[in-house]
Amino acid sequence: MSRSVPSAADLYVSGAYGETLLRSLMRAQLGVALGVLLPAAAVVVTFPILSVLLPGLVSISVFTIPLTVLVLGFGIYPPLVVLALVYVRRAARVEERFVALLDEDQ
Amino acid sequence: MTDSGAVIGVVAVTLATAAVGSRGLRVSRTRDDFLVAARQVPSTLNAAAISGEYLSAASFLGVAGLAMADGVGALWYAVGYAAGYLVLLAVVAAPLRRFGAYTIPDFAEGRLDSPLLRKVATGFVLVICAFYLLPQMEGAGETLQVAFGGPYWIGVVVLGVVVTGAIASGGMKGITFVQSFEFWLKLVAIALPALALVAVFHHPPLDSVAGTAPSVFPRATTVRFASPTGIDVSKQVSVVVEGVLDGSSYPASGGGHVELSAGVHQVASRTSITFPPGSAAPTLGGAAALTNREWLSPLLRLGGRSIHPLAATYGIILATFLGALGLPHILVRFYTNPDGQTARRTTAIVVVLLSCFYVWPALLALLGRLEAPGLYLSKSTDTVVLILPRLAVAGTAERILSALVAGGAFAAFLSTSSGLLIATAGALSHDILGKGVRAFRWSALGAGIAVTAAGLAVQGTSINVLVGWAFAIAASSFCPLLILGIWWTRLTRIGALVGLLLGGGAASGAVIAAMAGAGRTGWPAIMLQVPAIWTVPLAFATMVGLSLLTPRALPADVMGKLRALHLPEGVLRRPGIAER
Repeated sequence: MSRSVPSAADLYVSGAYGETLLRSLMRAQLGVALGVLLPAAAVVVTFPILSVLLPGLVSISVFTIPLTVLVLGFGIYPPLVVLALVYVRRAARVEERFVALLDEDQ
Repeated sequence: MTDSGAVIGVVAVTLATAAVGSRGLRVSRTRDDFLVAARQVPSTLNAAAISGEYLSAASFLGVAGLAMADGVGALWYAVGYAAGYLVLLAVVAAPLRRFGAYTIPDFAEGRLDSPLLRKVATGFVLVICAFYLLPQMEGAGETLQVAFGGPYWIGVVVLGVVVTGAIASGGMKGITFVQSFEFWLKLVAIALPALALVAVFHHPPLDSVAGTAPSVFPRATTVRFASPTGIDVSKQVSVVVEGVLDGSSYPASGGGHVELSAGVHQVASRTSITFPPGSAAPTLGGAAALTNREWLSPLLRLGGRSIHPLAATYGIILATFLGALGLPHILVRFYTNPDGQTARRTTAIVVVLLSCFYVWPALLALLGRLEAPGLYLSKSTDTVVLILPRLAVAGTAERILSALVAGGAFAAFLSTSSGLLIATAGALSHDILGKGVRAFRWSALGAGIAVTAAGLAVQGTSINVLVGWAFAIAASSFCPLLILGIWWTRLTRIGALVGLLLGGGAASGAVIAAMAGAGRTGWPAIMLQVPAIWTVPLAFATMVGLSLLTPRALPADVMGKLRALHLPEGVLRRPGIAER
């Protein structure tokens, strides 16, 4: 029952040229992935350190809501959604370009 | 004390699940139907189903409870539960769907040609599912305890019987619709009470949580002490006591009026104390009581104490951000997408839906600290989501909100534990007991009984901490296997196998030691209670290092496998490319 590898894949895009194509596609997709993951990681890694360096952070309130609650409870989610949507668009574009490249070759 | 609203909510959700699930019984015939609902589910429905399956007791009760108890830093759990899907989206969603393996063991075997690796992966599926199922059982026990006022075991047994029965008889075809319905139910059930509390009813200003004044009972509050407790009273107050206080007994009906002087008092178990409105709430005294400033810190506290807070925070960030992509019950759902790009779209919608959900537990934790300080004394902050609506309103409104919240909570336990039980039974029947629908049903039955029994034993452990441990094990085992398997050409059988065993084994061992009570202070506490901080790097380093040392253990045709993972579907169907 386990469909480990679709054998159709083995028939197409093989050989040295196919490998170069595949590696370039993977590199492009990895770039798109890191393009959204690194900004997210940067925010997530800095905020805890920031709160240690600036202990005054916990006594700030914005619109009667304490700042730390505002950031961890609400503020972090809109950028998260934007990054997810940006990723889907960029990844689709990479694949469209890849397919167009194959078309040009034919 | 029975809460009729809550009982109606729980019964309604359970009956609805059973009814919709039983419709699936007639349609599900083959293993394909059972496991992936025949791949015909539209994106939005599928995204709601994934979110519905994902939002468990930890999200619905645990996050708000732990944040109320240990402070704002505990919200990192919620942030990670949502952000884990960004990681899943960016590194595994489309490739895994294209590869065409149903489960993580399928992927492990298909990508690395190793039946042994498959067996080890199956073992970790069982471990992760077990750790994830226990807190669902605990949540059900606590919810029915609040609803009926009865013993803890009722909820555990009810959940165990309903879920085991549904899975052993039905399958996933029905469950997809149930899961998506349960997502919307959970969202409404957590948002509406929070909105009602903020908008309609009186409450202290939200930023008074940052002040230095002691917390005050906003209304007359009866606190029930389940275990012997020392309470620290800051100012003399007249209370009504039922039970035993400072060695003297008071009648169980009506109680006795006591002038409670400032200082520490000993309360015996099964004692209730009613405080008048406006009186300062006592604290548990000592380190257990957080000042407002400590509570507002965005760093994680282990068991309420500040132990290397930066390391603890980063440990939870690692576990939750990287753990989501290794959860066995979630990955199966990705095969219900028709292709890779749809899998991406579905995952992005999941990020949106989860983001809409997780803002509410944060608000409820804040309201809990202001409105229900009694929960600190009875050590039942995990029930804050259930308790808040009934503190704020009375009469019909209270019953409706109670029904909604209890129903939403039960939806969380039902949906997550059915997904986990399907994954468990799938792994058991496919790799251990022999294939086929009959084996699947017997596996579901056996696993259901085992988990129900174990659920009786975990009462009192924080729901969220238990789920966090399941994430830590997933992040230290399947996460490196998937990421390296999808993106790295040089991963070998031996590297993957030893990395999985070392990383996953170390995380499981640490968690079991922590459950047994080892490592309460200093660095040992960090190493055992937030193991991801060292077991994730260990797993990655072992897989990469050993793979580089054992190039002969490379699986056959690596490029063919990577083509299957990464090429868009259209390219695979295109003839003639192979010739050039």
